[in-house]
Amino acid sequence: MELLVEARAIASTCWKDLLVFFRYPLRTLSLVVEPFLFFVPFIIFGAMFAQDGSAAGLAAFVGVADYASFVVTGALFWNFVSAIFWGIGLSLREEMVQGTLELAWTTPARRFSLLLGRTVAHLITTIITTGLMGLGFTLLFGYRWLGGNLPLAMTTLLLSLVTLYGLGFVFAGVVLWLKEPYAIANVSRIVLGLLCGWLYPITVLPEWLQPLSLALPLTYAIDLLRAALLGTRTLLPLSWELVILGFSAALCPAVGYLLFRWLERHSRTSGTLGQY
Amino acid sequence: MPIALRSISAVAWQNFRSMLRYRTWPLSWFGFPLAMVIQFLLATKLFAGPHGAELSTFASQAGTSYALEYTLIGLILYLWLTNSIWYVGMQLQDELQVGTFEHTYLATGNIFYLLAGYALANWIRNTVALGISFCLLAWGFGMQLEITPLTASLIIGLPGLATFGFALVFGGLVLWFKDANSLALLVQAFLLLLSGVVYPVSALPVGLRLIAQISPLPWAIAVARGELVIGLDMLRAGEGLLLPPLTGLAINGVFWLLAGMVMFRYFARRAKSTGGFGTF
Repeated sequence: MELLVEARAIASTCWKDLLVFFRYPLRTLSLVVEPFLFFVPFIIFGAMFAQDGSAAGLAAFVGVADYASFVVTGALFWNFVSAIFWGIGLSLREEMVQGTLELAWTTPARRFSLLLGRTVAHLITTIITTGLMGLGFTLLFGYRWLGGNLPLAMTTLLLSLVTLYGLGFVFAGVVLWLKEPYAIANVSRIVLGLLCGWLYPITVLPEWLQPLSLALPLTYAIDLLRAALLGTRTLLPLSWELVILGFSAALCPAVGYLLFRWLERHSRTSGTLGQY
Repeated sequence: MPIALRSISAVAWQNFRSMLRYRTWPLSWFGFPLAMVIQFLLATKLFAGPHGAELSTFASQAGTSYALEYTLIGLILYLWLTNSIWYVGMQLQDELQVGTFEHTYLATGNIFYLLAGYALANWIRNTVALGISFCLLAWGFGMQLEITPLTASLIIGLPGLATFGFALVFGGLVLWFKDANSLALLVQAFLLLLSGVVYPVSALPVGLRLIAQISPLPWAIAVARGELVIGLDMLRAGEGLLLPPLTGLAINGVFWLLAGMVMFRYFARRAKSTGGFGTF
């Protein structure tokens, strides 16, 4: 019975978030169009170094000369990272500003259910926006993803999403704690953007930065995804990368949620939960 | 001191102080520009191949094999101009939200002094932050660029009129739309796509090339690249090659300044007559 009640709480939170998302069609449209337009110059830039659609320079680094598919795979993955890592925390911040967070928190539903409902809604909207972007890239730039190892790509994506949500829980906790999320969002965006290699393999980074990059699970996620869909060379043996990603997928959500609960308790006991 | 200068410098000073008030300013001044440009520069190294073997392919399309310098100049000017274009509108939005806009508008000073004050504060910030970023990146990636204070001033100064005009148009749009954030992101993405920031405009389809010419950005980038990468001299425009972009920039400047003043007045009058002047 209790499970049923929690399931209803999850569904209600999810439905509420979806209603808000589709309430602003212009904002929804810009979530698809703006990143799409932002990533297209990267593809045209790749074309500047290519002859007959084949980039020999890229092939020397990763073993594949299809620059458009290389860029698009990274871009779509980065869209997932942007939406999930920071999305949950920023939507909590919106509730703080609107004054509804404390009301939701005082209901009998578990915090986990409220967070999970928000997470599911977020996953649905992210899949919709990223899917539309992928469709655009496939139609306009001949993005070749169907010929790859789709089961491996799906497994990688699933493990990456679980890892990302774990990291997203931590960020959400930090938002509740520090109130001002934008500085931290910006720092983490800069660091992850530079180090995880969504646009380039990390072998083009200076050697002293590469160990930092290798410490991030997202580096293996994007590397595996490219290997699965495009057949690029991987940084480590494929099975090792899969094990590392699987390990982080098992660890991140549990640790992330524990940290979220700890930070949330801290902001409740200090009486600052609804402040911003 | 004439009242115009006093008003503009007072607004600029107040604005500059509030920029420095928040401790995260180094992050927004330096973090984002550096991160964005470094990503493109690393992509340049990737596409050029391990020993730069594909730079000749790049040169056949861009007219130079100095791909890193080519990319750096385009991106720094892109950041400089988009930042300048949006700053006035964003400041207006801030004043609307804080509730000080109606008071400022009712002051005896000309509204364009206020807007010029915003633009001046941002011009100083942009020049300092992006100038330092430019030098750091050129040094970090081992680029060889010969730049004198005179050419640097001309490269930044020449697009000034057009940029301020563009900024007035978007300032007006903020008074009309109220929330201009989504619009700002869309226009920035379009400018990155159409202005030849990391590739020549000639790489675009003909229709898009014509649209690109209505913004000052492709002209400004063409002048800067001609001067700094290809080795032309804008002070001796008689050489001919830099004359078209310099002329394009001048025409663009006059057009956007006039259009900006007319459109800002129109949007402000419209907002007043509909009673939505101070709302957000």
